Amino acid sequence: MIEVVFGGAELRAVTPLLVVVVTAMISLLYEVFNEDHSDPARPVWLSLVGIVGGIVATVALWENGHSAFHGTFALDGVSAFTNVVCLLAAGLSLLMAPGYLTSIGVRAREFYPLVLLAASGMMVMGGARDLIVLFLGIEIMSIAAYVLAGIHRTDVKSGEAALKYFLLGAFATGFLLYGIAILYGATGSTGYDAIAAALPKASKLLVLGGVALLIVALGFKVSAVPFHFWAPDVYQGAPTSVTALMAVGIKAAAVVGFARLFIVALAPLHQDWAMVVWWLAVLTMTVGNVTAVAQNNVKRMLAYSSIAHAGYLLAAIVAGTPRGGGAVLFYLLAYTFMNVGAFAVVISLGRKGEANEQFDDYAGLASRQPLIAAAMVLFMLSLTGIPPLVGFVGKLYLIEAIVQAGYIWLAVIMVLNSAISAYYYLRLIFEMYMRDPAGPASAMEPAPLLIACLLLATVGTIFFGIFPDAPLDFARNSFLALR
Amino acid sequence: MNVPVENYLVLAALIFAIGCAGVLTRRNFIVILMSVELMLNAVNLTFVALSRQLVSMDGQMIVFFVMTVAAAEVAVGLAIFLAIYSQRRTVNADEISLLRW
Repeated sequence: MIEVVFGGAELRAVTPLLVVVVTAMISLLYEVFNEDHSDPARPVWLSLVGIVGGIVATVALWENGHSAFHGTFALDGVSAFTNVVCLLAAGLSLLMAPGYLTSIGVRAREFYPLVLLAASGMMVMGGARDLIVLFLGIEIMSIAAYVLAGIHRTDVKSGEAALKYFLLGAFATGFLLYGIAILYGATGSTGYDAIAAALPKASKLLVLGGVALLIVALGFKVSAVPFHFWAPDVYQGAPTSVTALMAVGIKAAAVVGFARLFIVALAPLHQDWAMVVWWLAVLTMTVGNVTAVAQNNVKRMLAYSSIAHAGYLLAAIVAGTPRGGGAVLFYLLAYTFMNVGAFAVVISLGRKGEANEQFDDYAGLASRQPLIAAAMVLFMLSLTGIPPLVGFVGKLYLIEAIVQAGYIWLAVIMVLNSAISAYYYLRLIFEMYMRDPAGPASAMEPAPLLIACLLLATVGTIFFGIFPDAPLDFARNSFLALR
Repeated sequence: MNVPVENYLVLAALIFAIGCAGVLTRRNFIVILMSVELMLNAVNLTFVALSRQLVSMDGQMIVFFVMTVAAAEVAVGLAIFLAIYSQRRTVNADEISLLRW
């Protein structure tokens, strides 16, 4: 007989989650009963309170080795780090939303609570120590994300993005669940610790079948090649603030879910899954980078670049070591700042009726808006991996972990891929600084909240590039404590 | 009559494969969604059969989660279909290709 418990340990584990979810509910109800729609930026404040509250609760309550609900959910170092990264991503995309949504004519005020609900799903994924909790986290996050992708109701591209994301997401859910069912049949449990303990005695054929299905489903969520077909379309069609959330937050949560499942629960099978994930990582980074070179739309280029970055992250998961896990967590933090920053720049160039997302629209930006152009240079250099920015440090530690685990060729391929990526990142800088502006100068002033978002992203990109030690040590130690 | 667990598992695998084929070959959103539901119900059958085989209640509990999530997913999915239909007057996936598929 299993005793139903909801004591101090349980409450502690879910408090950050509760803060975020309750804020979302309050915000939703408030918007239903509030008739005053004069200030589009007002609903964002309550949501930001939820984000900050979630981060504060996480920082105050996390503890290594902590787990609750019969070991199915944890608030340990790994999930604390994930919580902070995902809430940061959600907070930054909230900051860029009000001005942008007004300019494209979206009045849907449920946008803000939906971002919080998506963030709560990401937090569940980060703390999941049981396949069913992982499944619930993925679904809480995805269902909110399907709605967010289609929030621009009058725009055909946004609707199309929501449709493609939904259909392929639901398809992937089927694979995820079937994989869980097979692993449950083979090991008799869905908890990570119990699975790891039962693996040596389980039927190898069944287990490998289940793991293959899980790789397909999670590969879809992290947009790994060959399960990436939805990503460019959805990223390009969705409103840009939602794209930023998907490219950063959803990817971070999915990668951490992937890493915890494979490094903890499936550690005894490392030899078997490492080869598959090795190929997945190589394909993902190569196809992502090569296709990004051919793009003329900046948002689509960033979508392919985000596929390539998923490949780098998968490569460090191949290592299967705590060092690799720590490098993955740190890179997610780095990626949050630099990629959200890039999307904020994309938003700041859009004007009513014209998105200005083509490479040509960036021509001569340096003379029109020198500060924004300079910020974009920073984000592009960081994404390429140029010192002393955070992208360089993150990539360095990824490669270090991969080499240390003995995957020399993987590291070589990753470095070559970084070289390819330099082409399209630097091409944007070339457009901004070396070419004359095509159209008349833009008189549009970015909204104050968008400036705050850009500033935060810039500071994060520079600060953690120069002082990476604190978050890096934290990330490594939290993965060491998992064993 | 005692039906061995293998029969349930094979049946579920067949239903899953049929659902999978439906998603890949059909072009009508509604039929694709129905095929996805078929896949999820195949998984439910697997869970229940395994639950009896392993003599653990976990499998049957999971089915409740799956059904709840599937219901939420259908609600959101149909809303998205309606939004698309009011814009384009179509439920055919081939006609939805402003962005390259």
